[in-house]
Amino acid sequence: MSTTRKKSKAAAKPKVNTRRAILVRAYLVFGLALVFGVAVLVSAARLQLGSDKQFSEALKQKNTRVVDVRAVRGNIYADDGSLLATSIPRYDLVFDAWSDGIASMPGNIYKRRMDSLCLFMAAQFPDKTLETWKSYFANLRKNKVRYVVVRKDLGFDVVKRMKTWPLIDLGKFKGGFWYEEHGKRLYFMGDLARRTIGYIKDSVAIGLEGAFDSLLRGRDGKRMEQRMPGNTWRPVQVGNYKDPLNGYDIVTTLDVNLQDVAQNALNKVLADNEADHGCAVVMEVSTGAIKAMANLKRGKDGTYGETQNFAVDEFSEPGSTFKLLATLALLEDGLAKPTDSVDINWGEVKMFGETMKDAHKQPKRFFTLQESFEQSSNVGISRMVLKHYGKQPGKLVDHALRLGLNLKPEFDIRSSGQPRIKTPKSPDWSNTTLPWMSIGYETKVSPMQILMMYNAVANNGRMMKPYMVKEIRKEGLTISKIEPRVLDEKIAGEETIAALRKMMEGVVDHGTAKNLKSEDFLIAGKTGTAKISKGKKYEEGSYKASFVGYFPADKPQYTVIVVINEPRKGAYYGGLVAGPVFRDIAEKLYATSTAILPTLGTNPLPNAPYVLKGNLGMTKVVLNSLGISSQADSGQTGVTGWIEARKKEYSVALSPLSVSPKQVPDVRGMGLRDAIQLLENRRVAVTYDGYGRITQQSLPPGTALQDGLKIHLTLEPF
Amino acid sequence: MSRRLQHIFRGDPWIWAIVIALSLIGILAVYSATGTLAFSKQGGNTEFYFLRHTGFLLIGLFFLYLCHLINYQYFSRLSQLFLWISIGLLVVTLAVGSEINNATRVLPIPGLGITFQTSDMAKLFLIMYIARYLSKNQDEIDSFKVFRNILFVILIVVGLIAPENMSTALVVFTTCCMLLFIGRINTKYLAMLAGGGILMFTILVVVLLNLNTDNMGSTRIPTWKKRIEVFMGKDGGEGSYQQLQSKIAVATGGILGKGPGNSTQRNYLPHPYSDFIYAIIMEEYGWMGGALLVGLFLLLIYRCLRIVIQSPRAFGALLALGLCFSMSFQAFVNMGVAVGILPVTGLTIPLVSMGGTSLVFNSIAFGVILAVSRTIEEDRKKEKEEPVAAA
Repeated sequence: MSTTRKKSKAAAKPKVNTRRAILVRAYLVFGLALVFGVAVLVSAARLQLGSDKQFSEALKQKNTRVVDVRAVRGNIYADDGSLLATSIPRYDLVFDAWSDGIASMPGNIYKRRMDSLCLFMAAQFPDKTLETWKSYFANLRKNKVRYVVVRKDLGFDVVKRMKTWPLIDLGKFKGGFWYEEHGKRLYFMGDLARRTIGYIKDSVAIGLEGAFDSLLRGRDGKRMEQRMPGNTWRPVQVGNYKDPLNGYDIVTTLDVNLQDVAQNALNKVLADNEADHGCAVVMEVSTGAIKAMANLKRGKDGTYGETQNFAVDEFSEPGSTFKLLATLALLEDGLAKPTDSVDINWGEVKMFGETMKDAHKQPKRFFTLQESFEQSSNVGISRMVLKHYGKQPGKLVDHALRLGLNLKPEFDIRSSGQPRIKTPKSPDWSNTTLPWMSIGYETKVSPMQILMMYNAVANNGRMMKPYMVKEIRKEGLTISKIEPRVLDEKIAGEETIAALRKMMEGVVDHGTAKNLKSEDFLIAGKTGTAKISKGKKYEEGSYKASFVGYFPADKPQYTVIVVINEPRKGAYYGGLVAGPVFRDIAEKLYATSTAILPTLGTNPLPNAPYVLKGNLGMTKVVLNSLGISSQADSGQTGVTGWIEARKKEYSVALSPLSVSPKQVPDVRGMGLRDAIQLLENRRVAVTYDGYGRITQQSLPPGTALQDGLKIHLTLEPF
Repeated sequence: MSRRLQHIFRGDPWIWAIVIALSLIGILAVYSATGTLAFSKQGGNTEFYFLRHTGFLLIGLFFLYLCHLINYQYFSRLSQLFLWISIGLLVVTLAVGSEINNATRVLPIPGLGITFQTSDMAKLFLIMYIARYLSKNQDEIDSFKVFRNILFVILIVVGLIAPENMSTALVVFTTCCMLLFIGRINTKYLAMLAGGGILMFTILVVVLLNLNTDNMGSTRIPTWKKRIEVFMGKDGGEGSYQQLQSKIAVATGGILGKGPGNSTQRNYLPHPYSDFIYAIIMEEYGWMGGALLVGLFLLLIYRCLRIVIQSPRAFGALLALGLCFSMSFQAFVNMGVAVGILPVTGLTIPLVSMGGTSLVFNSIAFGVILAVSRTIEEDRKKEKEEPVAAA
């Protein structure tokens, strides 16, 4: 027992020493840890309390910044899907000459890659030679430039091609090259509907761009950038902030062709009359969709441009087109019939001390209500109104209020002005207000409001909300479709509407707009000629000519309003000045609208087109598919298989063409493809310039064939 | 109550408290710091990393609990087998490991979709092995042979870690040297080793700084060079940016910090949830929070010293000290980087930084320390009871 104890003691003794030794050394290491821990805390305290002001927030802001990454703005489309406005992505090629990948790339490999990259660069961007490119990149590398824009505004096609180039193909971190994307707004219609499509510029938001800005804009993202030497900024990848969200696309109801016609016609008439400004708006009757909207104002140099949206913005005295309201009221309230007669005293009377007179002396003493409307008699309408509403003026005003004429119409494009309809309670209401209001004075409405009112009549009393955006899309997918909206199911009874439409047809048939009468289709409408008030005075010779109408009169498809302000060359009557614009638009619509054509009850044969000389079989295939009959002159056509075509009125005559296998054929009048086939079969080498059909050939027809012949063809468009 | 807890959570209650405190601090800091990562990688699902971290932590704590119930002397034997497995895995990692930041540090575990850092495992078992070796050879500890043999093993492991993770290798090597020192290896040899090491390192730095690294793209050599240059203030690149942002985080935190979740520097710092977690803690919880963390690791070392005092066997003492130094040292390096007194490295704070398998291995390390503490306590109780029984 004692021996074992001794043994264990003997064994334990060194252990105790060992433990003590271990402990002493462990305490030493603990001491080291303590010192280090204190050092950490002291350094932290120095950073927080010390004079190291360099670590303040201000410094951080100086060295880094968070910038917006612009979202790509959505597109604006016309109703057929063609682009009106788009943001195309443009790319800047950026280079970090000392990225991790490049810094650690073996020198010889880097050189080989860079050299071949420079070959590509010199080929793509010849403004720098191969040597210049080489020294350019060598310089960047030497100076370890971390961020440099090598090339600006590259298109997608170029970028796609460049992605296979050496170094660029390695990507940002390994190759040092990357792209930064930004959007550029493009408008495809030039000045066409510029104001309507609008723009965003220095917080001025105009037109559709302005109205739908919140949708088009998308949501910008954010990223952080770090300041680099030389005041450049480099994006830092530290858990990116927020990716941008691209904007929505909007599809408008605008018809590009119609817009073109409306704008050109308006421009021509404005220029011809040296008018100050004008507008033309086309509305689809059944839906209220705006198909075209043109606004032009004369500039200092005499040319016209879109600077203001008069159609929705200009609230002014409408003139005679407003007579529709009074007439509607008289009929609807059962106070008058179209056949009721009124004493117009040859077109001039005194009312409350003021002279009420027609645009010119009338041939009769008495007019019916129908005639007053058709001939646009101020005296006729106002006397009729005075007779029936003189004691109850509020009742006429109620009709205006019911149509919402006192309110700014709800529309995709905002307007800045306000309409004004006086009521008997208005402080400036006077005896003369009622009669003058009935003929379109002492009232402020916009062309759009007038258009809506006439469109409601054309639409059998149903008033539609005007709209210009029919669909909202995101990356090709429909997000929402905007359906037509009815504002008032029936603005007046059927009889009233029928009577009004008959009167409007009369205006064009034998009234103030008979110059618009067309043999192809019926037009109905109303002219307007208003004196323009400048302040309180009506300026002599300052007029506003307008025409608003719809067609075809029996089955209305489109309502159009045209307003020409201050024509300065003699004519100022609405029918004469504004009418031609209307007619141009109507004719264009008539020629293109399938909705109108069948109503004419004819199915015209297609006119025979011009047919090129060429292959018989192919020509027949094309003509047959177009439904155009063709007659081959004789069986000889089959001999060569080549024909010459002669146009008849509704058909095409095909006559054989003699082509000899040993001579240069006459290819003039052919398309390029046929000519090349013919010539190359005869071993003649072909060069050409131009496009269209061949008008000249350098070897005359009939030249004997031999080896090595060369021919040059000149093509010209039709 | 506390007795019942003591029955379930055996061993030093202070160390248990440290484990719980570190875990909680870690969860808070990681949740805050992974915000931007969640936005860029997980579509804004901010809970993703929080849950993942907590999940790994729970797995780790489970292993910790299991380990602390094992009699620590078993680890002595286990260490032999697992050290060689670890060395094998290190070789495999070098050969096939997936690339992270140009460093092949991790080995994918087939089928699980997770990767693990084999150096974590190797570190754990190397320390165990050294503790075993030193305790076995206490009788001839002064001999050069003992020193040479163990140094050989250390150099194999460190040499396998170094090419892809120099900072971890340096920390492991330093920890091992401390362990050799505590384990009573002749100071003469250690001094020679230290002298040699410093000399080698100096030469390495000088060579690196003057080396043209253009042809070494596929290795880590250019990165080392860059980092040393950054620390020496020669380069204004990414590294100095990181250090600047880290200093801003510490400086703007103040004494009490900006409050949980209010860090702004997490948006500017790369890996705020791991390499720069201390900067985020300093920013959100201020100097006090930072001091708490320093205090916890110092307390850990102190409690391990208590174990040494009580430990009847050298193995237990060396094992506990080795593991606790290894973790504390790593934590202090991370802190040193955050406050700018050490160059930028990729070292994490055990149990605090976000991690996957490293959380599990660090938990196991804590479990082993607790196992030592538990065994010693229970042995002492038995010793106390014995004389009573004899009387």
